[in-house]
Amino acid sequence: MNSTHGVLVPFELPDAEEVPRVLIDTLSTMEVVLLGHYQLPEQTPTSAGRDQFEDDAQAELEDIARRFEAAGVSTTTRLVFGKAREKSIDRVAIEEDCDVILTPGRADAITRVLVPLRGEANFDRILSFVGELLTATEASVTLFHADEESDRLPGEEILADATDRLVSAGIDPDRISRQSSTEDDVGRSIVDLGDTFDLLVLGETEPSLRDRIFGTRPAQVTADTDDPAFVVRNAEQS
Amino acid sequence: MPDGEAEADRAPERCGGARRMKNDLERDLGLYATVTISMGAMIGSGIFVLPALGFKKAGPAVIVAYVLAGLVVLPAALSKAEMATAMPESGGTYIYIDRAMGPLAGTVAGIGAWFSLVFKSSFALVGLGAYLLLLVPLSGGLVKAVALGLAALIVVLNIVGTEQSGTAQSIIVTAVVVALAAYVLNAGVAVDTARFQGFADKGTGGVVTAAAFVFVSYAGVTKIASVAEEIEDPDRNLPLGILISMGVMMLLYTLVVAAVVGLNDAKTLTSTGPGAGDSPSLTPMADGAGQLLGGVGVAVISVVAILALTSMANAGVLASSRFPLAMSRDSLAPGGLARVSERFQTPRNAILVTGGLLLALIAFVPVVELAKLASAFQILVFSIVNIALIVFRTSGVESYQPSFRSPGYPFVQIVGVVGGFALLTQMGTLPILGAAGIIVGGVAWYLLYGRSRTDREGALGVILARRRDEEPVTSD
Repeated sequence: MNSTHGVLVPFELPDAEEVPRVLIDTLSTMEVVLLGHYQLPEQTPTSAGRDQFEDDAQAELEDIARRFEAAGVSTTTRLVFGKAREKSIDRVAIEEDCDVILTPGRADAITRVLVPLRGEANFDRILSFVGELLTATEASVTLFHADEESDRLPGEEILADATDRLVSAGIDPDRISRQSSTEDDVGRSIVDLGDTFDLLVLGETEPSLRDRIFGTRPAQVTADTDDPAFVVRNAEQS
Repeated sequence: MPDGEAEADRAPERCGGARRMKNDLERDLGLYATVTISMGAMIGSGIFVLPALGFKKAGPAVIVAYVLAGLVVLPAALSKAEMATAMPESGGTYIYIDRAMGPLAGTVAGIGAWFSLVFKSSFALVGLGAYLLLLVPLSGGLVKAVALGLAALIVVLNIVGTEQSGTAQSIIVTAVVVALAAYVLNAGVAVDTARFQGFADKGTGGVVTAAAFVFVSYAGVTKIASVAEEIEDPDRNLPLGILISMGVMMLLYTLVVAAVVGLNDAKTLTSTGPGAGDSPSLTPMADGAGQLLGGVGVAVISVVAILALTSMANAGVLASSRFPLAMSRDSLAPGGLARVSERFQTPRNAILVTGGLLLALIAFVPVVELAKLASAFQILVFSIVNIALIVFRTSGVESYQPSFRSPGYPFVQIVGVVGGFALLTQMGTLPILGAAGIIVGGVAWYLLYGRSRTDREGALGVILARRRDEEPVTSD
């Protein structure tokens, strides 16, 4: 069984926010890496901060790991003291072979999952992850497509193809619905839709020049929504 | 001295400091970023305050003094860069000298480097006050008050803690370089070539003295060493970054100082300072700008100078607080100095001690008159850094595994040492006495405090031990 996905769950130490139990339950079949990131100001040498706060931080991270293990999730923990949080997350994701990164958020129950799709390079990976996620939960999924000029395939075809994949992964077709949009601001419509969903699964996009200035779409979307989101990394980058 | 990040789960082998080699840093600084970081650390009092002081010593040949000073700093920059890739720990100069020559030399270097860096910051703040006076009509006595106020602000800022941000730094660097380029271009029109007459009147001695004096103008290049672990393709980008930034700054200094000399009467430069009688001007850049563009030029240059000098003083406080902190971690200074505040997550005590010295220097010490004292010790430390590298290479200690090796070893280092000591001898008695004073103070502190608390020995100890072992065996 090497098809399982690696999920990186980052925490901002100290006093990290709790990940809702319902969200932990969705991860039961995956390899989960818990990354505790202890942010330090530039005045503090990393080694000095680590010497002093390591024990507490390690204890806190172990407490978090215990909650995951209580839910039957197998975990690896990594503790990093540093100054650049995003960079550490990317680096550890690559080192630990995590193809999915969780942006935690609030959730009372996971019943409706939103999956915006394009004809991305990591299409296969997103769907295989969604398939596994749905197997672990009772949730229904909405596959969403927004027309964009850059797409090679028409939206209908992409959504049909995606549905087929989930069905062949053993998901009941009744749990799958499709939705298209012709709105210009895709990020906005994902955020608006997100209000009626509990969880998002997004594909990482290749950063364009615009993205480099305003942030990538997953970054914008996850910043604008309270929902937890799984960001599926691009295959080529790992 | 940023040191990126360190991982707890894979680096528990912290013993003897130099042993912890790999630090898992993102290498994401390219050549351009490397050059900007280095230039950002160099631009400051060297260009905005020192040209007139150097002019007083060397006449128009102060231009040559800037080039000479750069050539003497270069070897130390290369040496520090190599050792930084082997010992990516905060504490810089102190760490290298301590690990090479043991805790006694480490204590002296640590205290001295700390003192001279704080001195440099106080000098920048006093110089800044002089530029501020050109913008706002304050009474001369208020300059000190303004410098003290800014110093206090910088200390508070550092205690509260700031996020790492290269953006502010690169904006300031760009603004300063653009302003300086415009300054030089404009000056081309107004320069009076007659002012370069008597170029060599003050002789070689004057030039060397001035070089020793403006030495600090390049000290910032060693900032590259403190980010060495974050530079991608270090074998190429480290030496190139050092050489390019030094080359650009040498050119910039030469042109700007030539412009300053060409724009001003010798009298303006040597005797319009705030001190009594004929102390040299502290605002040579603005003096020249006045000749070019009148009041507007003075205002623009003053604002740029204030920005650059504040940023320099701030960086100085941050960097120098690492010395007491690193020494404390090695038991050479009271343990509280390494303590990180739970509330702010900054090393509050080390910053407070550093800030206290900064305020005291501004308040009670004539920093301008004594600037060469700090300069003398800095030259000494830079020379010793070259020796430290030679010690490491000779000792062959296993823990020393630099990922970048200084080109031209050992000739470059020998030139650095000889050049440094040559400059020192030209500085006059007072600075040499000052340097000796710091050495005596450092040794005394080590004997009273450090010796009983440490039993480390540096790479030099390894060499000496080997010599002792070999003596009876070799019989040729």
